[in-house]
Amino acid sequence: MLIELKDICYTYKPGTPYETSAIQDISFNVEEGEFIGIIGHTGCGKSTLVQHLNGLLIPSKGEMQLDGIRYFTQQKPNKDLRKKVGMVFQYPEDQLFEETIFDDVAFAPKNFNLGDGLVEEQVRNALEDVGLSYEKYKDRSPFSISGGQMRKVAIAGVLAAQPKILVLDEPTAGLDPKGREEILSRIDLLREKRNITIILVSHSMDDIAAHADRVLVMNQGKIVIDDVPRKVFKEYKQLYDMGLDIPSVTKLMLKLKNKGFDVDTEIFTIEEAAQEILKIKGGASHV
Amino acid sequence: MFRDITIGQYLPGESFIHRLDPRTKILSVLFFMVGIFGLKHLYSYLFVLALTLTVILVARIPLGYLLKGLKPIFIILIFTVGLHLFLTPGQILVEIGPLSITLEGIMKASFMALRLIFLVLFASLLTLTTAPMSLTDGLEKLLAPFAKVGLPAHELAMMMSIALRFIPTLIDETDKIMKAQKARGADFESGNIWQRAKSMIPILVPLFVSAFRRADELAMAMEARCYRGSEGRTRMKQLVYRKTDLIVTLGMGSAMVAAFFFL
Repeated sequence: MLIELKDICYTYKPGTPYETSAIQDISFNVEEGEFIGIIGHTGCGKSTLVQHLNGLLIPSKGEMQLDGIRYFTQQKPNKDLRKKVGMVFQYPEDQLFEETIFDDVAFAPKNFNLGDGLVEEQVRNALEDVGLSYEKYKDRSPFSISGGQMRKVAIAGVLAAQPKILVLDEPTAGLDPKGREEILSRIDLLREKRNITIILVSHSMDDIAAHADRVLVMNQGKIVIDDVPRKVFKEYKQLYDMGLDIPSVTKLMLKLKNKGFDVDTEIFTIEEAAQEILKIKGGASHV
Repeated sequence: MFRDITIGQYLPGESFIHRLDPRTKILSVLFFMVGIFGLKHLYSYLFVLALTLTVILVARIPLGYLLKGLKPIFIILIFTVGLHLFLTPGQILVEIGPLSITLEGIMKASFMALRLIFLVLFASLLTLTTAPMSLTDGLEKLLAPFAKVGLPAHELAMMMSIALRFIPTLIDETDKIMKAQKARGADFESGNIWQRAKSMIPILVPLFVSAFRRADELAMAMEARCYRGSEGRTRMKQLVYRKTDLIVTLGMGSAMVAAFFFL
């Protein structure tokens, strides 16, 4: 077991009139190499939850075991934990500050004392892994490139510390469909290449359905469903009640079913949907 | 740590103080500021304390919340008190090496501390009970006579309202950037003063970048809605100066004149 969270609770501004309980009794496990999607309504506590994973927030109750070390009760969160768990915040391009892209990506490896020779190698790998050419970009200013590229540089800035676990909070917010898909497929590649564990917080059911192995659905500070995407999206009525959506292809299949077509509604990718539609049309499948 | 700042925040309410005309409140704060500098005895502050407490009670502002707003001035307070305590010549009470505490020093230090505390408390009461929009409307109206001699009254008021509006936004932004840099291993808590100052760069640069971007976007949004300064601008909500406002203004003014000369 790579991560084990036990009864994590977090309260904002305890002891003031503005006291709000953000998450309550959150427990779940993550295996090494898993791709976990966390979905939930705005304000359901997703961002609060993931900020515990690298110790940016200390829970008011509960403990976490990560890579064999027990945090919060026995060990205080430290730099070591931050190095292991890379965190890509919403709109991560807001964190860029250096004069050159090289320096910015090198910020994390330098802080974690990786050693000068290694730093350069890490920066090169990180930039190539997000799809930017090292030679072409290293000396440019991070403020002179496009928004999509800034996002990639910011993600590289987290990857350069070589995290074992990568947490991404809405990494595709505000990007066009092409940009979204590019970032997500890069994340899939990374997982294969570096064998890192991915935790993806997202609003987009399409993204989660296409990429995650397991989905945690949060509602009002609690995890209400923890299962594989197939089973989660089967509960579409419950999801609708929580103000959540289901993947667009699944919606299409449900509509077809309502019109009287005999289709399988447990379909989450465009390819599967194409196959299924061709099947009921009776035509040969040449997809 | 930045979330504790209450200066410039507004707590909506329906109290008598909330409903006063902003001009009344601004003038009252001005009178208060002048009056408090005329106080000659420590016991005169009892009068100031009573006045402040009355306003707090009438406005139904949680005392704890108000006192929290004093936190940011704590360092200035310590600094001023320290300077006055040690550097005022007079009858020496205690000597610590080259430093000496005098009776006059203690008096002066307590005067300064009380002045600062009450000034900040009273000024926060103004912003806590007045919506930013009506605050700037009031300020603009008060400055209007000076517009004839070339003072950009409307522009000043607008700048102030924008500044107030962006305080919470910038606080949230700072919090977020700090977390992002901490996640990349940045350390803001250790090292000497020089190292700590240097460690602020990763926060300040993104903060400035986003502040300029926000300013640009705001200017664009205002222009898109045909904002072109004060000329020909009308208001949906007109300020009304009532009888009670006149009474409060006169009352506050005379109380402070009395305090200035007699207390």
